[in-house]
Amino acid sequence: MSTNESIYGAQENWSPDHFSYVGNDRSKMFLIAYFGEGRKIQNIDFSQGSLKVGLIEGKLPRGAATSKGYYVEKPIDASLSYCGLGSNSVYSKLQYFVPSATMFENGIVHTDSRLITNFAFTERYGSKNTLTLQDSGTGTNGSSTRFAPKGLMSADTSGVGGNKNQFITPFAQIPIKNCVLCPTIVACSGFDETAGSCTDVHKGMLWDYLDDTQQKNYTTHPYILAIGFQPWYTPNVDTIDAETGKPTVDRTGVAGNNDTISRQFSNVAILSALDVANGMAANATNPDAGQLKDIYCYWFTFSDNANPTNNSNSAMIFGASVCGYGNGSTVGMLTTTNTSPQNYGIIFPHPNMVWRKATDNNKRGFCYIEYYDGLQEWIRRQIACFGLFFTDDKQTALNGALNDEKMFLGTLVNGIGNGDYTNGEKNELQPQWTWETSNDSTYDAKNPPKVDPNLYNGKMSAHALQTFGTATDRYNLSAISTQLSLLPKLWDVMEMAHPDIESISYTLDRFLTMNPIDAIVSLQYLPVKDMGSGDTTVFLGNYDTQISALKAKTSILYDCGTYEIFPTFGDNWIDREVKITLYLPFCGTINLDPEVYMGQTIKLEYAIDLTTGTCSAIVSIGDTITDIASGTCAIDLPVTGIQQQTLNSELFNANENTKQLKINNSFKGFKSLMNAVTSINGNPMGAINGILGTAQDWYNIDQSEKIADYNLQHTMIPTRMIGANGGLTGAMTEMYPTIIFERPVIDPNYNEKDYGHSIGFACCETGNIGSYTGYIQATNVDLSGFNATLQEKQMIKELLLGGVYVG
Amino acid sequence: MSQTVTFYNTSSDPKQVNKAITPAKPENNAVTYYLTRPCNVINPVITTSYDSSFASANYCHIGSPFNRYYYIKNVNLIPGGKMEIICEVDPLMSWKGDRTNPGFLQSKATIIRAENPKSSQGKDKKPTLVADGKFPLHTNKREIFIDNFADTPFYSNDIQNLRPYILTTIGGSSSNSSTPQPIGGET
Repeated sequence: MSTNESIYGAQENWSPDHFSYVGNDRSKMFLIAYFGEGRKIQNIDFSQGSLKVGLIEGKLPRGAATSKGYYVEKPIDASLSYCGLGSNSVYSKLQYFVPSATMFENGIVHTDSRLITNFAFTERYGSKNTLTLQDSGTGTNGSSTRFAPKGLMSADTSGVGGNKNQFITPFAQIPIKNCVLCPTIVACSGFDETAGSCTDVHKGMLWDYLDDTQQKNYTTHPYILAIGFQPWYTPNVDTIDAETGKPTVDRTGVAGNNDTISRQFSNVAILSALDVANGMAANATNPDAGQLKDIYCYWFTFSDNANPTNNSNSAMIFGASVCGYGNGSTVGMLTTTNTSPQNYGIIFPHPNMVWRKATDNNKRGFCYIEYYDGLQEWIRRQIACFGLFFTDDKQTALNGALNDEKMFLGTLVNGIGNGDYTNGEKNELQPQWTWETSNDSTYDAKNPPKVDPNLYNGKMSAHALQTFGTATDRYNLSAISTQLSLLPKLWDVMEMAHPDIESISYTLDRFLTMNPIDAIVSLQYLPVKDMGSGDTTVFLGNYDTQISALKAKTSILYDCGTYEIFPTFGDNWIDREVKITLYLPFCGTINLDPEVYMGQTIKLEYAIDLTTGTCSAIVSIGDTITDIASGTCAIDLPVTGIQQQTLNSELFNANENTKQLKINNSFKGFKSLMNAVTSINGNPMGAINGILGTAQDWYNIDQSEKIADYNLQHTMIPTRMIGANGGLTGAMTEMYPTIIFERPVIDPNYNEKDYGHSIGFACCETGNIGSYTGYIQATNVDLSGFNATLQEKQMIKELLLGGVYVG
Repeated sequence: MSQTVTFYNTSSDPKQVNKAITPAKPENNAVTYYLTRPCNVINPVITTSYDSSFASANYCHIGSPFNRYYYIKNVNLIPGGKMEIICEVDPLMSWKGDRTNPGFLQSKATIIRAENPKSSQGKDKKPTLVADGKFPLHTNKREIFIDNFADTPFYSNDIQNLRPYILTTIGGSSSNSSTPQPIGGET
């Protein structure tokens, strides 16, 4: 929708500010808003579009007054948004960490999951400017990136203090046909992990980085610390081709020094409400100071370093921000120093991001990704989310038409950019082709499109039973020796069940039942780590057995880590032929579709319900859950005769499963188990004793290298498991989640060059025949335009189909 | 109308669009031809005076009225110092086109195989994403690679010293009843 002129001023008053244009065509200019006349306050210039002027002029709502000024408590008007950012944009899933000595252990403390329906590009001011939580100080610069539920403005007559948000100047107009976004990159050749510094940090345009003839490129500097984008434009606005946007004077990247004069493009201000952060501590270093609530969120994604110079003319799409991200020598570094008053560090995430700390202490480290073949496409899709023209080709950026082959245009669906894009002549089919400026968009950020419920992008956050209390006590008991100490105690308990009235009364008081053994509801074997916390003693009803134990948790969510499924063959079709099987202890196996998973980093978590033993293995890519497999990891140990029958049945089934799995050596465990059951003479206590004794055998089993080897091997070909293996059989197999790749084998005599020359690589592309070199086979050729005979054209078609050498 | 034929030699593969051609003689390799029998544009048969260099040529260009390149399929020597040239049109060389006279090289087509696909230009990542039935993959060989995740929630050994049991009892008196927790949260 059009920028609201009642707030941002009449269009004719919008200003190019410090952009130096040659010509008068305002539709080809970046223009800032007009809240009122710009003014100088205490020798500091505030532009006509600055929030400071907007507040003074009453165009923006004032919030609560403080002794230092007043807050800005509501987001600026949403009419600046010409599109929204979909769930595939990194802006919809920013991640946060708390700068501290344990941040590397704690990792990400929060991940957004939302659509960005309201954002604005803003003009930069000085070296750093943003909305910030900081509410004191006398400087005029804000900080690189801030989490700011409330922006504090100094008094109208004061130019300094507050939190410097007053300089923020949103663009009221983006010139669609004179704005080409171009990717920037910051990379280094390595790390000095002891010193906690990056080696030979290089900042530049992506097209230079991908050119291996450049001195510093993706092979010499494979560690990428930040990625951003900046608009390129031509200053000669009157000579731009009206239809194709092709300039007569080369476009140039926005530039400007870190001063208050040459300010130009920077920052993406995200104005969507951050309701997902409700309840988070407002100040991580002082969590008792209050919680975030009803936030109108202002994220300024200023990237001080994600640009080819040291100036701030680039908006970020990958990297870590805030902490220690201030200058070239420490670019990319995460550090615990200088944390005040930042509350949270921000990560613009990437699936392959590595989080690594320096070795000398816990105060420094890095977030980076290593270059990989699919990176260029990932960057394109991120920039495409903004729905503008963009390119990663230098010549196209300089003077290409907007329908050139290497000029891309982000696709907007209902006004939301989700990473798709077109190129070349197909750009002409998109609605943006007919826009002059961002004000021609029909997207209404005040009434954004509804979120498709099928785009599930959340994750489980609560245990189904968490709202229920229970009438039972649950204990996490230690290993066999401790277990066995329980048994004599239980015999003592049994002796209490003497049939005289006094004892009956005593027994009822203690156990709520005449049979003390009935106070035991269940005894389960779960080979699960960290099931308990907090020391206690085991109570049977009201009777304290004095046996030490831990209180059992209800459930756990266990992070098994991540695994990068790396394309072995260079991300071509052969990688799609790889069979990827994930063996999940107690949950069976699942096949991972290489179309989905190749090149991705998967995360595996186990959600284990410790009350029932049900476990679910959750596979996710980023924040999106892609596969879930479930099973049972608990083995119920009988404490009564009835339970024994249940166990017999389980043993039978387990035995059948075991035959199927051909785990011959594991029969030792089953044999012991069966012996224990058959030795029971109707005495339930004996059942416990016998069954518990078999745990020692399980222990021995797990110590057997031979079986361990077999367990690993049995996950190999054929890796097929119908359903999940249950607790009994599962306990005897490999306990680590295992990923198995079955990769095709290429003929050792294969020579890529020869193959391409004599047979050609299958490609199925369209284009002019003459634009290819070497061998091609072509079909569907359009042979109009020259006067060959019908027979000759037929011959040409047949020759092209059979293969010819061109170029 | 001058009917001339220019003789060349070429070692290029017939599949090569741009044939590398060299004149059959350093000079005067264009001679007048005439017809001794009916001929067509695809497989013309022309007659020229005998020349040993021309007789051993394997490629020619027949000027007006055909204006096409031809393979020389055969040469018949005729008494009287003549020779008969049996030709077959090379449609690739004849109709490749150039900037001023469009040919099939300027035509759009679906490229189904290519030595240098556009999708792999600029990076060494051949072959492409399109499945290739001609690619020399072993049909009955597979390379197996197995790897574990870094961590597991399950005990893999040393159970003796760990806590693998959950005992549930009638409760309510020990201040130990299960406390609601978020999944994955600590008690």
